[in-house]
This record gives sequence, structure tokens and C-alpha cells, in this order.
Amino acid sequence: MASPPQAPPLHRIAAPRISAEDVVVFCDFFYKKTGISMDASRRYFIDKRLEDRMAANDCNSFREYLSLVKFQPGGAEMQALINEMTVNETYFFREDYQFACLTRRMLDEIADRKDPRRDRIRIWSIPCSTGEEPYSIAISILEDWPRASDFDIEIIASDIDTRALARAREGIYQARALHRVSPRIRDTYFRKLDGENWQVVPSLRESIDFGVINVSSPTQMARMRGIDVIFCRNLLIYFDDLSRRQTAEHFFDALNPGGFVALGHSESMSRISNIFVPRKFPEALVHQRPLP
Amino acid sequence: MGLLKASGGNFSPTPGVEERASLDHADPAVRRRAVQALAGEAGAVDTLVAMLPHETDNGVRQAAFLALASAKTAAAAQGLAVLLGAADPALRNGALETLATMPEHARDLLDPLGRHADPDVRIFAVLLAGEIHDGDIAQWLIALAQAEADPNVCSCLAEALGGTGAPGAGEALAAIAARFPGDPFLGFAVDTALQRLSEG
Ligand SMILES: C[S@@+](CC[C@H](N)C(=O)[O-])C[C@H]1O[C@@H](n2cnc3c(N)ncnc32)[C@H](O)[C@@H]1O
Repeated sequence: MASPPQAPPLHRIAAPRISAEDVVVFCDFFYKKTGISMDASRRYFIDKRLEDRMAANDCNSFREYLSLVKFQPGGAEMQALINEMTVNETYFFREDYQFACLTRRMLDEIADRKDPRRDRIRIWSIPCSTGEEPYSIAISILEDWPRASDFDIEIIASDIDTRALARAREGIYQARALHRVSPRIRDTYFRKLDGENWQVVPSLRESIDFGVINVSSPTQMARMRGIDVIFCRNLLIYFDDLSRRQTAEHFFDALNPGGFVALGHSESMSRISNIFVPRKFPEALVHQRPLP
Repeated sequence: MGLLKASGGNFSPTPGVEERASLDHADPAVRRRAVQALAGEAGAVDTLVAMLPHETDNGVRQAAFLALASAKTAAAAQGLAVLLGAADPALRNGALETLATMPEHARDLLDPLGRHADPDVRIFAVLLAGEIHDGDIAQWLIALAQAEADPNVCSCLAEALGGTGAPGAGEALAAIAARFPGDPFLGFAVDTALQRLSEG
């Protein structure tokens, strides 16, 4: 039998504090800061998070909250808001055919152009979310690239979300994130903390250079140069065409000539920009900055 | 050797000598930086539009197109419209694609482009109209179809009209067919468009 309808919780009865216009203003502001393109179809998602942040800061109106976000010295609330709005879904060995492509094809091509005594190989996972992707890259290289010990390999991992990065550095995961990790790999690269939690071993955690980067910030992106492979998966789906194109241009500049970009399976470089050359390997289609 | 220890998220790029960026430098990477450095500067649009026809490197060109797309101004759109008349197809395509990213400004350029003396530019105007999703674009296409005398522009118009589904598109297509009775290719283009219209 159906139960009688329950009264909505009190805070829902109060007049909505965020109007349709506020949402438009907010989406525009957020897009300019992050490149993330949200629209009114995600109204519930946006309202809910904005209301939570407004309550946490005792703001009575959206205007008041927006000026806090814009003008607060240090930008702590902007960061808290970003952390709230991002979608961090990820897991170990997601789209792992690309890691196979890395260890079977891309790394050999790159290594052949380098002098192991002088040059490093630099790999960048952006966005890395809570760390599953860069750790998967590191494990794939250690397990599957026979020349790993001949080279100095640097793995950089960045995200706009500081809370996700803190979890990535900590490296503690549960069954959901680990569902594609074999028992042998798990026992080699993780330590069991308790019934539910596994932590990445310290030596592996220390070999990933985690840091905050907003791909929509030209000044932050200008710090990234001399990269050989970029994994940028499941970020551009949240961007509009212009931010996608800007990101592609930043990646071009960040890469060494001959360097590669791997995108998520639903993201297509050919629809974004023609500055990269498509490279079809048996395992995956990746995009290469042309060699001179 | 093997995986390096993290340096603490400071990402210092491997040091290199940063050359002063100049638009006529021999190295395309330096020209790209010069283009990027123009972003947001007064007069940037004119500089970009003037350099594009002489630039041969695709990476530099794309950076310039992106700077124009990001500027999103009426002046940028006008500059791009001038490039639609260039001889190099890659340049014209880049200009068309970039114009399509700013429909609010591109819309105002359709009339002059549709009257341009060069039929290739008129073709680009029709292609551009196809990229702008705006209610009265169909009327603009229909008006252009009334008097267009170049068969290549007309076949492009036929294709665009077939996609509009607008009332009046059928008559405009019939008028095109009547203007070129002996041209089997155009006849085919018109028939295909009429069929698309009837399929809705
Ligand atoms: C769905 S996760 C993708 C994680 C991983 N690459 C994967 O494919 O599993 C998307 C991540 O993008 C990050 N993100 C969103 N906008 C960003 C931006 N402008 N710069 C850097 N990271 C961003 C979010 O914080 C989130 O962690």
C-alpha cells in the first residue's frame, strides 16, 4: 500500500533563493573560470550544490555568494565551489587499451628519439581525478614496458579539484575503484588496510607528481612544457567547442614534437582541431604533434 | 632509472632559452607564441587577419584562428569574411569554420557575402548560412535563390534549401531548376533537395 505523501523538508518549503537568471549568470561565470559548460538542464544539480555552498557561508542571496566567490582573497570559496561541481568518476585501468598502446607503441617511439643518459620521458595525466588513472599508467609501465628501467620516467598528474587530488595523494581505494585490478597486481602495488580499504604502496605514491592545474587557465598551462604523452580522458565531454579547441592548442604547446595525446573514447580530436596527426595503432587511435 | 620520485607538484618545465616571440620568426613555434601573445591586445584582430594569408604553418594558423574565435567580435568576423576570398582552400576553410563559431556576428555578414562578385565567396556564404541555426536563414537562402545565376552557387543553394524544410523552399528550388534547363547535374541536385523536403 502506498504511504501518505510526506511533507517536504523545511528548507525545501522556503522560497527558492536561486532564480533562473541566477543560474544563467552562474553558468556563464563558471564556464569562464573552468571551461565547463553547464546548462539549465542540469538545474537540479547546480541549485543543490549552490544552495549547500551558500548555506555553508551564511549567504542569504545568490548575489552575495557570487561576490564572495569572485572577490574573496585567496579564492578558497571558488575552490570549494569547483570541488563541489566537478564529476570525479574514475577507476583503475579504465579504457586500458590505451595503456597497452602506451607500453607497446608510444613509449618505444618516444624512447627511440631520446638519449637515456640525458633525457627523461614525461607523461601527464590531466585530469587525474582521485588518482586511479596515473597509478594505472605507472603500474602499466612497470609491468609491461621492458625498457622502463633504462629511462628516467616522470609521471605528472593534475586536476582542478583539490579535494580529489588530496585523495589521490593518499591513495586509498575500495572495491569499486579496484574492480579491474587483478589479485596479483593488487597484492604487488597495494597494501590492505582493513576489510574495505587498500592503499597504494608508498614507493608508487611517491612516484606520481600530483598538483593543481586548471586546463582553462593559460598561465597555468604555460608552465607545462616538454611532455611526451598526455592522457586527457573524460574531461572534454564537459567543455564546449571553444574550450575544447583552446585545450587542444595548450596540449600542442605542452608536448614535445612527436608527442601524443590520448582522449576518452567518446571524444574525437578530428571534430576539435586539425593541428594533431591521427595515429592509428592496433590498440588505439591517438593524436600526435607532428615532427618537424 | 625507472619511475622518478615526485618533485612536489611544482612542474618546472625543462629549462630552455625562451626566444622573444615575433610573428616573422623562422621557427613556427616562436610564431605561434607571438600569435598567442596577441590575445586580448588592441589591434590584435587586424594583425591576425593580415598575417594569416602569409602564414604557411598549420599550427600557427590554427592558433590565429583560435585567437579570432576567442575574440568573438564583429571586427573579427569582418576580418574572417575577407579571408573567405583567399586563394588557399585551407585558409578559406579555416575562416569559414571560425566564422561559424560566432553566428551572432556572422549573420550580419551574409548579405554582403551573398552579393560578392566572386561565386566562390557566395558559395561560402551559403555554407556559412547552413552553420547558423537561426529562424530566418531559410528566408535569406530563398531570397538568394531568386536571382543567383552561377550554377555552382545554385547547386550549393539547392542542398542548403533541401535541409531547411521551410515553406517557400520548394518554389525556390523549382525556380533554380527552371533557370538551368539543360544542366543535368543541377537538375539532380534540385530533385534530391525536393525529395528531402518532401520527406520532412
Ligand atoms: C570524470 S573525471 C576523469 C578522470 C580520468 N581522466 C578518467 O577518465 O577516469 C573528470 C575530472 O575533470 C576535472 N576537471 C574539470 N574541469 C577541469 C579543468 N578545467 N581543469 C582540470 N581538471 C578539470 C574534474 O575535477 C574531474 O576530476
